[in-house]
Amino acid sequence: MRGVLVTVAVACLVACGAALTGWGLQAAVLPPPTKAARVTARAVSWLLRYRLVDSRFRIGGGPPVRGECLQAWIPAPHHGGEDRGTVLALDTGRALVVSPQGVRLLGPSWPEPRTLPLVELDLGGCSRMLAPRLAAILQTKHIRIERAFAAGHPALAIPVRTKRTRIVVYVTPRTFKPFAVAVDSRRYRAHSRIRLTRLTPARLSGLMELAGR
Amino acid sequence: MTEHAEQLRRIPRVDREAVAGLRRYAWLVGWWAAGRAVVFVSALAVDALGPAGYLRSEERGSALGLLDAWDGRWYRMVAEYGYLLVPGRQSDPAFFPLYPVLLGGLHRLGIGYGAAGILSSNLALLVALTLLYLLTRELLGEGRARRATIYAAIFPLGYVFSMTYPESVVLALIAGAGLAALRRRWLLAAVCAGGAALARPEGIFVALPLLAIAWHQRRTLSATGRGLALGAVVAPAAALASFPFYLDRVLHDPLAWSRAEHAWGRHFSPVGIVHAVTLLPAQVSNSAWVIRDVVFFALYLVLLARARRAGAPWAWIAAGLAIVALPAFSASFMSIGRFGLLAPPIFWGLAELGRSRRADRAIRVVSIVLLVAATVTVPFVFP
Repeated sequence: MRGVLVTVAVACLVACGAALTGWGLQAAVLPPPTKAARVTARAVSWLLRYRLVDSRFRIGGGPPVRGECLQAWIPAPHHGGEDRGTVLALDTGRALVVSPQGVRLLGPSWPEPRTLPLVELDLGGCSRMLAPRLAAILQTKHIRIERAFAAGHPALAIPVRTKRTRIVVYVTPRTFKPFAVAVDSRRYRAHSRIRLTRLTPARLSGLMELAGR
Repeated sequence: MTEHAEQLRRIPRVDREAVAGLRRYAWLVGWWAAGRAVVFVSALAVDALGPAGYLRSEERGSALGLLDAWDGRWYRMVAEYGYLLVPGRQSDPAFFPLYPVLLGGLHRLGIGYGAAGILSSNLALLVALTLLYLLTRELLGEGRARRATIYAAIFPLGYVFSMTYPESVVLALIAGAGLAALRRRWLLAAVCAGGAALARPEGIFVALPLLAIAWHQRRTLSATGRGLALGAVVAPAAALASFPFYLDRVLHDPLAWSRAEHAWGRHFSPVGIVHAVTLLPAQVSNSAWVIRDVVFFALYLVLLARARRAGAPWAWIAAGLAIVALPAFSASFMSIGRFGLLAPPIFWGLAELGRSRRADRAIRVVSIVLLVAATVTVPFVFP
């Protein structure tokens, strides 16, 4: 009996030693991720968790606009099936449908710079537009965050540079949930307040109807 | 007494043993050097004459940058910045920690990450070949041991042993664990087995031969010895468990590895191998390179059968089969060719095939030719 106990005790010691040594090696040699990286990764998680984002924004001196941005499988007339896409509906009657084929404008339109739809999609908080931008800077490892105020609240600002614009995603300091976006381009300077929202069947069908037009 | 004998007598005994040891293993070092020379010359030729635009500029920046490509970049990233799970994207928790720990340790000694990867992999291969030789000699005799070691040194996919990949380290640890267990050095076996599991998930399967050896020795071991043996059997699982604990500490997500694997297109399921077969035509139409891995998968199964016929213990065959077959349960054959490099019985099966002088020569020539060809493919496809 004593022999069995010794065997089990020694085996447990060896196993614990293996686990602790493994853990210790990782903790001693590998650097932990920076706070900026953790905050940004968490912000990406938040964005990917929601398919609908409500927003309020104003571009330059223009009127305030309300938007709702949906990520869904949208009809693809060219192959008769569906493609993963984005629908941004604005309360001005204007809508943008983004699919692998490009951006389609619906509703009132006028001659406008090519960057305007991109700025609107970012301001609308369209999660599958913003999340890849944040994920891309995570993979370059050149990430920084700053303490800031946005929409009257303390925030952490995550700046992202794209080819044509500079975007700042503001997240709450505790949960790192995105709640505001600022876009700065050569032509436009705008802020938006965004709210990640649970998608209901009623809102889904309304926006899908728009996308199918 | 002649002058020469007098000089020999003056050399201290330890040195004489070292000289004799070096002579005894000169053939092994020679094959290691020859195999690596083939890989390095091919890599340099690709650098000088190869296609531009396939590799990142970072990897094109140095003459041996080819050996630092693909997963090497991810291992370097983990060593330099630590782990970070990027939701919905391919990210680095898919890469096990021991190799980045090794790179990080060497970097602290003043060696650059890229150089540390190539240096550690190639030196680890020399250790792996030595341990593979000693292990095979104990199990299958001198002739097969020599052939298995030579074939491992020039194996067609063996260019991976020279890349910033952990395969050579894991092969050394698996062979070292088996050899230490056979020699009743169970604490060393536990260290090697734990290290193998912490470097690649397949390393956990070394527990199978260790269990068989421990069972075989059970009546001749003391209670403490049995405890050490049992501890060595459990050590891979225990070391492996430290990884999710560490991920939980730094990323607050113990399942980060599994999530990252998902983003890399690997999702393990009991029917994964059925999906791997049914999805094969689609995968081939997407990238015909998967045929390479299917061919090696089939070859490995044949070699395992041959290894069994040569008298390799069942437990080693089972471990080899698990190493080769398990990745197929992630619904893809991709990279199985590389994963199989970790299974010593593969080389034993090849050694059995090369019993006749003619077959031996043929295997050596074909292996070297294929090693050159495979190294040249690195810019186009990951191993």
